[in-house]
This record gives sequence, C-alpha cells and structure tokens, in this order.
Amino acid sequence: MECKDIKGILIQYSLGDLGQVEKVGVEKHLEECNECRLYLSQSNELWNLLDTWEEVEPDDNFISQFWDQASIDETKYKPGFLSQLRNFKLNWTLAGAMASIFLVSIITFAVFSPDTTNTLFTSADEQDELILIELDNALSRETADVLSIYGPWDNTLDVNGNGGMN
Amino acid sequence: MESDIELMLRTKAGDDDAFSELMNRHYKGVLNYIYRFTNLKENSEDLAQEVFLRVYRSATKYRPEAKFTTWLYRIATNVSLTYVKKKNKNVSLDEMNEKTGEIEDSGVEISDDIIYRKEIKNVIFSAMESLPEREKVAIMLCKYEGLSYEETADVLECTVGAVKAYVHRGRMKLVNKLKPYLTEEGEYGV
Ligand SMILES: [Zn+2]
Repeated sequence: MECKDIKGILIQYSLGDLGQVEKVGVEKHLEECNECRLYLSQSNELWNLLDTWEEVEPDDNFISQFWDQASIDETKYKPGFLSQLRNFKLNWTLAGAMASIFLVSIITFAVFSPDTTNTLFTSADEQDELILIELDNALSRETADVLSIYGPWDNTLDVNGNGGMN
Repeated sequence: MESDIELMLRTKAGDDDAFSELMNRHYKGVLNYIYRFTNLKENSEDLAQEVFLRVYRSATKYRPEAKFTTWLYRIATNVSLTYVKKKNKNVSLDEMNEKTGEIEDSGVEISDDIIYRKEIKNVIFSAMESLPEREKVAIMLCKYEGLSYEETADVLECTVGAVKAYVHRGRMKLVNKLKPYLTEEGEYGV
C-alpha cells in the first residue's frame, strides 16, 4: 500500500476497525514510513488536543428558568388549542379516507395531501431538516478541497468503513 | 434509575418533575454542545433553554421507539445550525469582537496556562467552524458528547460508515489546521 492509502485507513486502524490483512499491511508500512507514523501520531495528538477546550457549567437556576419560560410559552402557544387542531386534522384524514372510497370508483386518481408530518419533530424541525440537506452540498465542496491535500479519500474509504487494498 | 424514555413518557402524561429530571441529566451536555457551536456562553444558555422548550412542547407527540438522546441532539443540532447560519449572515464587527474578545475579570492574575487555554479554545473553535457541518457535528457528538457512532448516525440520519468517514475527514482537516499546536516531529520524529 502507498502512503495515501495508508492515511486513508489510519483512523480505522486506530479504532481497531480493520481486518487482519489490512492491519498487518498498515503495521508493516508504519514500521518503514516516517511520514505515516508522524501522520498517525499527529492525528492522535489532535484528538487529545480537543480535550483542552473546557466545558462550561450551566447557570445554577437553569431548571427554574426553564419552568418560568415554559409557563409564558404555554399561554403563548395555547396547547389546548393545538391539540384541538391535531384532532381536527385527524378527523380530516378520516373524512378524506371515506371520501376517497366514494371517489376512487369515479376518478382514476385521488388527490391525497401527503402526510409529511413527522410525529417526532416540531414544524420548526422540518425547516431545519432542509439545512442538513444543504450541508451535504457544502460537504462535497470541502471534499474537493481536501482531495488536493490528502489524496483520493473516496477511493480509500468507502461508506462501510473498509479501506481498499492495493 | 428510570430510563430517559420512562421519564419522557411520564412527561407526556403531564408529570413535570420527570422533565426536570431529564434536564438534570442532559442540560449540561446540550449546553456544551451548543457552546461549541457558538463559542458564546450567554447565547448557549438561551439556546439550550429553547431546545428543551421544543422537546417539552412536543412531549405529547413523543413515541418510545425514538431514543431520547438522539431526538434531543437532533433538535439541538437544528437549533445550533439555524443560529449559526443566521448569525453568519449578519455578522457585525461588534459580534466578531464579542466572539474573540472576552472581558477579563479584573484583579485576577492571569497565568500563562489560562492564556493558553483561552487561545487554544478560540483556535479549536475557528478550526471546527471551518469544517463542513456534517463533519463538525459528527466530531462534536462523538468526541464531546460521547455519543456512539450508531447514535450519531441516527442524529445525522446517515449510516454508521458515513459517520466514521465524517469524523475521519474532519479529524484530518483539523490536524492540518491545528498543526502549529501539534508536535512537529511527532513521537517517532525523523
Ligand atoms: Zn507512508
């Protein structure tokens, strides 16, 4: 294996994620290659360096602050009204299903409003999901950048986390 | 000890004490997660409160199939990213000063160690900020929040292999960006 292949799988090597053949290949290469040894030790050093970013402590009264805010929130959002609205939506779904039984014999397709409501997330989360999709685009740009520095990642690191052997 | 899921189900049934207990368990983690996105402690408190408000508000919709931490960190990620995007759009000079300049406690002697810690904190923050969001999120969740690759994959809605790739790529970029703070020759120096 060449240096760029080794660098592509060094972290899996540190994590013990490599198969026996690859592991031996990496170890043999590391014995002989100063550059890759430095690369590995700097990667481990970096991981420890991240620990120097210290934690912050929460305000002492974060729980009471929360409940104060929650009670303001409750009047603002009127959860009673919201649950009524949810029931209302549910009735609509039922009504829609019943109506479609009648309509399906007449019309070739019925118009369903797709139920995209993810019951786990609030409506704001749905908006936020778009952000994560945007992030993927940002990732490909950055990947292009890094290719020129470290070599072809995608060839050496597939999504199953297995490195390729030459 | 009751599981997070049990506490969340009690919350759903209207037991606010259960939610206070969930906050006791996870508030600090969420606060620090957001703090590492923003590098601003004040804002982080507000945003952490917002995250828990959103969780509390949607408690009625909670289903025990979802792992609580995954759900929590997903909301925290969305809140953080939304904040960072909004902030970067209208970043003013004041905010930039606020970001790097901190007010010292007068009368407190500042040791080299404190100066180094503060410097390194800002340097790590900048390096992290320059990473693509998914690499940043993956590193923060795995490294700082102690989530497993599987849990991080659930937060990012991707495969475990993809999470490892994000962490790997991000880590290598950080090595490059933080080189001045790493031993030049390494342990096995030439
Ligand atoms: Zn090498």
